[in-house]
Amino acid sequence: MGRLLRSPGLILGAALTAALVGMALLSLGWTPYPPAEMNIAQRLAAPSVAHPLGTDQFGRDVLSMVMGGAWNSIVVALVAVAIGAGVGVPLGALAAARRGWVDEAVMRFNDFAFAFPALLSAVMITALAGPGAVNAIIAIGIFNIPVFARLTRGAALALWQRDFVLAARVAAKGDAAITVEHILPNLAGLLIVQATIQFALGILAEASLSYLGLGVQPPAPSWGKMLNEAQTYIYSAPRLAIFPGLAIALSVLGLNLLGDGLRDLLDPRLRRER
Amino acid sequence: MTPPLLGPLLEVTGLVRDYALPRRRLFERPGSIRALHGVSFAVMAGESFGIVGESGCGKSTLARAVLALERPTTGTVRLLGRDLTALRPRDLKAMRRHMSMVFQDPYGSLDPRHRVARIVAEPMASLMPEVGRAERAERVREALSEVGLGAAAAERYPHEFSGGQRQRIAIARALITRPELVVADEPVSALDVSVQAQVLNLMLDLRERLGLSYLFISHDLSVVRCVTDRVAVMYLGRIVETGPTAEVFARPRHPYTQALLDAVPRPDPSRRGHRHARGEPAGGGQGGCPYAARCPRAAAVCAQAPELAEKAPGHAAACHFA
Amino acid sequence: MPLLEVRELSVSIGGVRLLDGVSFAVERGDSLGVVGESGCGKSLTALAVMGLLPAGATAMGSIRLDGQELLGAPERRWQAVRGRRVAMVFQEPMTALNPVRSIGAQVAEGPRLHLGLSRPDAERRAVQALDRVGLPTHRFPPTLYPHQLSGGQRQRVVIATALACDPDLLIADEPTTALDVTIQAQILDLLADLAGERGPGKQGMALMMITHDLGVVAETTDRMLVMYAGRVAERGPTAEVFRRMAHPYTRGLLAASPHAAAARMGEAPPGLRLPTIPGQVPDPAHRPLGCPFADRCAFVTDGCRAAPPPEIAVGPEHTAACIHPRAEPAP
Repeated sequence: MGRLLRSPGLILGAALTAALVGMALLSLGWTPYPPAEMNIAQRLAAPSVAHPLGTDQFGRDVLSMVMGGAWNSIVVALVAVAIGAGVGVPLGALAAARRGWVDEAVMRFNDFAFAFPALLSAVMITALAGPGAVNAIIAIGIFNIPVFARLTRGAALALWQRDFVLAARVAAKGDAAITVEHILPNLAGLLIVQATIQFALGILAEASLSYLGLGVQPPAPSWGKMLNEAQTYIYSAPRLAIFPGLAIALSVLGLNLLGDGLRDLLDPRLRRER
Repeated sequence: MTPPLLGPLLEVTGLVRDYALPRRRLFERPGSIRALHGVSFAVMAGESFGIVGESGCGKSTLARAVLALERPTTGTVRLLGRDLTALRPRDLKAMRRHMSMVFQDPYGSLDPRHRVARIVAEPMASLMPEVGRAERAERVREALSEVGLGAAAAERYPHEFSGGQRQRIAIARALITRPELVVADEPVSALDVSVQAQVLNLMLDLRERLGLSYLFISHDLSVVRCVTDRVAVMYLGRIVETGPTAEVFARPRHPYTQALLDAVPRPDPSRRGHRHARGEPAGGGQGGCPYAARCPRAAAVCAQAPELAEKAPGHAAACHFA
Repeated sequence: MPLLEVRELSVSIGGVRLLDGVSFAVERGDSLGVVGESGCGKSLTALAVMGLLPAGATAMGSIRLDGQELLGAPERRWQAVRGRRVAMVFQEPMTALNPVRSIGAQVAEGPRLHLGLSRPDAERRAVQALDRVGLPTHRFPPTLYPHQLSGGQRQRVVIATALACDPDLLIADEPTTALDVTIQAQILDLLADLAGERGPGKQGMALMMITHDLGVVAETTDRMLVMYAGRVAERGPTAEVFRRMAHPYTRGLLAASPHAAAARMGEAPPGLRLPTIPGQVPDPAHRPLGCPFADRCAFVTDGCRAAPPPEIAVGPEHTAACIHPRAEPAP
């Protein structure tokens, strides 16, 4: 525990991530104003007590939109990571357990997936399938799969060589049981760290898709769309771009710091447990 | 319970194990390397049998073949009279409760994520599923107490124990199904000297109390001397000498055994200035004695591979000059 | 003046005192064995002498090389010493060599760096060093890579690297533990020979052999130290210490050693239990006030727990840190 407090990166990352999640959850129950509510009389208002971050060209409260956008970003990124891990981890574990042609097949699938530039492909998929949150999630999720598959396979291969796995084989434990009881638990730390990183990337990807109008559709708020709409006012009211931009940057920063901090925390401890 | 044994507990006959080498060119047939050249020996019930050799001699391959973790290229492994290499997977699984293994690395052989109780119970959970949870827990307590650890150890994690204690946990795990044969692969090599003595004493006690048989694999001759009844010396995949341990160590007949015994550093200052034989294990030439390249006695006749032949009662060596 | 003089060396890491007032001296051409089990501090002592203590370690006391104080010296002075006057050989030959550089390049690196030799001169020196360790060029060209050699051969390359700058002191930390028995014997022979070599104007290299194996110490060293729980338990000429083991720990260590047990067995069948030292090495963070061995000692008295025992002379140049050293001949 003492080590936790000695790592400023981890604390900052955790704080930022907590702020992000807190804001998102709060937005489900309450925002200062409904994010989609337009109030033309109050359009382009500067930050004030009534509107801490000001209003946009339609009079919508920027703070409420940032909060609502947080929820949106989290959901999309989270489900995409869940898809990526949910499919990628079993694939990687299977490849490491079976070796032979199964391993080859999974690796070639991985190579194939990595050959496609993830973001452009996500754009293509959502453009073809139709814009919307669900398709954005699927598109981003698909490109998380090879990341988790490769990571799992690599780490699992090393674990299969360990003596405690050999001991389980001597006890006639099947490959599936060994994977579930021995391999996966020992990978947990590694996977958590990777998940945080993919989460950050997911937020960026979602913002990019929404910027292009391919993500969640109006009137639901999203940071990417806010950035897009802020373009025309970039000189007269740059804050309309700064606030969502800052939200994205701080979220990604927080998650990356959290991921790095977790990696430092978990790995040496695992080593010390030896 | 198994019926009383007529014959050896473990009988290995003509064990050959080849490994395929990676292909050098795309359509070339891959070559192979022979790790075991027709190894044969037997372990009687209640006996402690040592396998001694250096790296590359094939002792790890032998251990894996005996435990039926790998299928030999040819040869048979009979446990309690049944040929493990010919069994169907289901029957093989049923036979596994009669053998177990203790590994070299006390830090790597226990899953750091599992509690001791779960680790020790694992073979029983897998091989004797008919045993209920309550009885299993009782057996775990028994096994831990047999190796000198209290019941409180069951709820802790491996990292809370020292190397010697972890090795005891590994031994408890190896005993849980009451196997007849325990294969110990360098069980004390990674431990401190004073801890080695404790664990070796434990293994001797357990053998007496439970009537176990050991297949004790080690590169450390002194350890083998202390705990085995009979020993086989391996070199480059062959047994070059075998016999009662005391006899083989007192009157070694094969030049390699002699070199091995001479090489062991002895706590005797009068040996200061003593120099040892040179040479390293080299891939043996085709045919001929594999040790000829290093042997001080090598002669023309050594171009013909010597057979493992009895030179004294119960004591055999594979050397033309033994 | 001794080549290396260590006085009252104490090393603490994270507030835990791992080495406690260790003192010893190494003369030119000496071979000193340091024996002990894990946690006794023997490797830490070697690291301290090389100035390679981990970050966060605090060291007190004195380490003098040819009268020059090294402890607390600026890194520059350490660099002039390390590799040049004091060299070290570690346990794992696999990880001590850089896998992507040829062995010749690695052995030549020291002379180029420390002696400022030109590349052809350094290469010639490397070839000489490799030859000295039993890897003649015609069979082992310097262009070979570590993975093309066996474990024993790699360890020889490591020793050649250590020798290339002609150090005054070679520290070998468990140099043979990872090797096979017959190879072990050859490497130990090599080290013993190198230490004894005398050249024109030189007195031979000193050797500090750190090991847990009493057999290794007996066969390769002239003087020895036995360490326990961060302190020196017994010291003296090797033959003397083996003849009369004064400290109960040294006795226990020998008695428990499988080598000694095997030697004692004669032709008896197995079954004789090995003598053991009851208990465990105390946790460095919770060492007892008096003699660290008191809880495990068969001869403990009240006086033992009162204060750490001083080193008492028990023979010519032979001392033991025990208030009632044993006098009967060693088993």
